[in-house]
Amino acid sequence: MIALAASLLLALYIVVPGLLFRSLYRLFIPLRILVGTTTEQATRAVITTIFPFILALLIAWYIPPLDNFPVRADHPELRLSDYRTVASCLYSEQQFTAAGPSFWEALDRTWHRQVVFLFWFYLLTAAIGLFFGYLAGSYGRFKSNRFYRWFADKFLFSRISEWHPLLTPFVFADRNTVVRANILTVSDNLYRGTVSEHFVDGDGKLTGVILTEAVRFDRRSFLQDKDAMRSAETEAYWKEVPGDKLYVFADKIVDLNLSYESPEPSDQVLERFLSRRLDVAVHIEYTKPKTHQRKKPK
Amino acid sequence: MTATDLSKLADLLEQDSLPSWLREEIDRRTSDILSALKRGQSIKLLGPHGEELIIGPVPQPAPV
Repeated sequence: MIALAASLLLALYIVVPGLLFRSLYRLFIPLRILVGTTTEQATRAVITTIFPFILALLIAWYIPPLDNFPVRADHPELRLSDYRTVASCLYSEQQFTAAGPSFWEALDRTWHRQVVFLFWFYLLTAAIGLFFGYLAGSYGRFKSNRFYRWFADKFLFSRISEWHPLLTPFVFADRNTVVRANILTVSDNLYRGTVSEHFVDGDGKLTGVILTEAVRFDRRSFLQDKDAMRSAETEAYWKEVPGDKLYVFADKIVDLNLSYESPEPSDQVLERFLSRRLDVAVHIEYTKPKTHQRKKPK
Repeated sequence: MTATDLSKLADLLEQDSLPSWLREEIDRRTSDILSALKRGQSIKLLGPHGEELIIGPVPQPAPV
């Protein structure tokens, strides 16, 4: 009986809140990008549920009328003795027989208290899951805030698969940023295209990339023409790859050249780029296209 | 990823994250831009969707 009760407690207090947190958090960011050992994952799970646990405990113990919602939990003064009665009766059949009807009364009061506590615990876990998910998913928007950067570096993304920021517009405030890749494979083929999806294994290691608008560099013709002294624009040797999407296995990749095209680059990015490219300090005024302009909050 | 903080990687990736038309236009008109700047003038680059980039010399601070 005690084993059954322990399993129930484990499910209600650890498994369910963990699942609830993860299912809401993953609405904002894929969980597979967070990597780490089992111990690190367990530590993260404890940290994320410890705050709602303490808050729910405070509510269930000290904050009327919330301590009687959604069901009435009477006789708070009997809390400790009820727990003792229930635990000892679950442990020993002798105690259970001796307790008689007082066991069922104690169990009823305990059950009501647990319903109150679990209600607030799950509600707060869900709220914190949404809050952390929103913070994590809005990295590009909030990263200019130095407190947020510190929090993200140390807690939100202390262990993150590097492929997510590298192969998605995750770190850009402008979510329309396009990731372009030039991929050289072990078979000496060079592909170019837009990264539309990537896959990582349980350790956060890249397993494959899907390119759209993929083209392949016709190196053989290029070399033949070069040998024959027929010069042509390099662009002419890029040939369309049949099919909409090209999947490249990660273990076939020798070299990966990435570039990011943001339709709305910030003025700082533009100024830095121009100063470096032109080797002279410049002043810029950039007017964004109307179709890309975001609505400003009122 | 442990060796590099995400914020450092984000800064690195954000450098040069420009639309392709702008990069190509700057490459194509580098000499025009430089000569305009040398003359103390501004130059305007236009994008395919109505974007406008005006590049000019850094304004000098007014004499005190």
